[in-house]
Amino acid sequence: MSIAVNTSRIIVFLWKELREYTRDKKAIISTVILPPLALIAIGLVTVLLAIQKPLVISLINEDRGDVALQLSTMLASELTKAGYKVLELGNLTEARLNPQIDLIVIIPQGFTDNATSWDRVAHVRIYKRTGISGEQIDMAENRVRGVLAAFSSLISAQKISELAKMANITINIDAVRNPIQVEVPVYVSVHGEPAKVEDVWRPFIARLLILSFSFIVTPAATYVIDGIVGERERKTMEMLIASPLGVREFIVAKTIAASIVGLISALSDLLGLYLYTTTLAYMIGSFILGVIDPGLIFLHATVSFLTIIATISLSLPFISRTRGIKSASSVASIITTLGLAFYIAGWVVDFYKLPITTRIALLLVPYTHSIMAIQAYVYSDYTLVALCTLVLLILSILLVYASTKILDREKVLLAQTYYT
Amino acid sequence: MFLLGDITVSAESVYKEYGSIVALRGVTLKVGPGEIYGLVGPNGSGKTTLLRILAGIVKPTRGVVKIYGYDPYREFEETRKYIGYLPEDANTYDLLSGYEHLKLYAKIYGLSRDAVEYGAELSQLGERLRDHASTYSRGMKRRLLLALVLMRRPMIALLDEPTSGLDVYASVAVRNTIRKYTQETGATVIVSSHNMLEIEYLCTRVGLIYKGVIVDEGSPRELVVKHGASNLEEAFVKAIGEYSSEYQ
Repeated sequence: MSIAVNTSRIIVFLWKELREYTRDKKAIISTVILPPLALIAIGLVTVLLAIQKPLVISLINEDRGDVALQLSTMLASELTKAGYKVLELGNLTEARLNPQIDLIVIIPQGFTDNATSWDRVAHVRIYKRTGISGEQIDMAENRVRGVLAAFSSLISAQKISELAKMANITINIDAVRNPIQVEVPVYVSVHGEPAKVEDVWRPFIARLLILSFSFIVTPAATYVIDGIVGERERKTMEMLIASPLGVREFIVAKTIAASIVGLISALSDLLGLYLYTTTLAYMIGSFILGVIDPGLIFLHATVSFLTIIATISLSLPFISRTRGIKSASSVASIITTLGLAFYIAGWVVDFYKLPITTRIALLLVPYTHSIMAIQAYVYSDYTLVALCTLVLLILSILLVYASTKILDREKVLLAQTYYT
Repeated sequence: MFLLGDITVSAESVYKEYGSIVALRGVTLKVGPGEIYGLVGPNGSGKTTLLRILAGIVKPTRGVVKIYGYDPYREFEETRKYIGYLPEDANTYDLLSGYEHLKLYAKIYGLSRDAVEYGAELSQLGERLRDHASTYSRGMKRRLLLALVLMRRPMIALLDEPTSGLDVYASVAVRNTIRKYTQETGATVIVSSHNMLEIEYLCTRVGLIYKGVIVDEGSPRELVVKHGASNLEEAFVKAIGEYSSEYQ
């Protein structure tokens, strides 16, 4: 088998592949239209369900003192304003036995006495119910703690004022209560300048983009499985293999076609993920849409395309030698799981800051380069971005070459099936 | 039988093993220009493997195969201009029209628009060529596939069960296309079939293949006379019976 490939034949076959794809309505719906719609729907459903089923907080005031009453009123008012459903119940047992109640706040007996004394501390008890909405309960607890901190601050201010009057001195309450204070943090960019909003959001968007690579590897393998094993199963391969197209051109065209389709699918998934996150961000009163970086999106598309080629090339030797789509999918899932593991790691680990020895070991895996390219962009290390992209390109070409080199017409055609 | 320059396809002691399965056990074959050579044998006798080896897509384990003096497997590119190969269970692309199939293969082979028109004529699909292949009957698909093979006028056509699974009308149409093609071009055709009537109608010479060996060879008439049979089917059964009693 010669090294050279006939580009015009690849283009002809690629045309055929893409024409088939664009005519396959089911494929277009499932790969392009459904992912963003499904993810937006999931986001909306999450929001709607959260609105429909607010967290229920039970307030139990066991103390009849005026300070306890004031606190109870303040908690009920602030928590209701924050969207929680507040139930004022008589006793703890009743609240604990009611599974609809997520959080219980108890103002115990003696609260007023303790809160107004000079030598005792008043306590409030909180009970949190275990369950799947743990994060929401944590948010509710923080809200309760916020109200308690504000109320505690009011009482301490009164006490300090009273002490000052008794001592006949003039004081600044904050200077007594909180003599050391942290100013609001100032974000600085990687260049040390004050950061803009987009500088703050960019790492998050980059992490999102890295995570979105995990949506790419599986469809890429699926397309190439359908392209090669499917072509064999549909009995359309043998005439092609016997034509001047050749195995190498056949595989290269299939790889490029699967990469283009995979990229379209990936961008569609990314759009869906973006809209999903935006929906949820809107729910918590934040915004993301205003910080899209076209350079980052372009880099993501380029790296995605190369990542798909690398994934396909890694899967090809196994896929092309399996008998059916099911066994090919099982084999390919091993490769795609490797990709998924890396991209999930990329969501939480800053590869850019890993020790150099670890980084060198990881550089053998193509997925490292796609993660590093995106992370380096965030750090404005454009030399590394270019280097990672270039290495990924070279790796992809080498992998395609190696995978086609070990395949011949007979292996691709017959796999392990023999007809005599 | 042939002068050296007359041989277009030759196989000499060809073996093919797939692991422990032996598909061909020393097949020797010589086919001259303009011949229509029929390969007849039961399922699993090695017809498909032999045609695949002649087409250059499967490598023989041992033996020598030549197409116009070239090794079809090692000199794959060189032999493409001579060989047209129709696999037994070949299929069309559902989402492409007949015309698009013709154009695709014309471009792969680097053919002109005339070849596409010739392919359209061979397919006899007329206006239906504009429809997606998913709407074609089995017979229409087979005619289209045969047209894809013959549109570039190959000097050697290797046809594996070209009428398999077709009804009488579709089979007749395919047979007539093959015969017309050979008359027009003088091409060599090697065709495998289970249908003895088809073989008698089409072939100038027949090879009876059984368990990976060509057990007898000759014109349909010669084989019938040689085995004292009333038709080719009977001659085939007798030839296999004689071979089995002699070697097993």
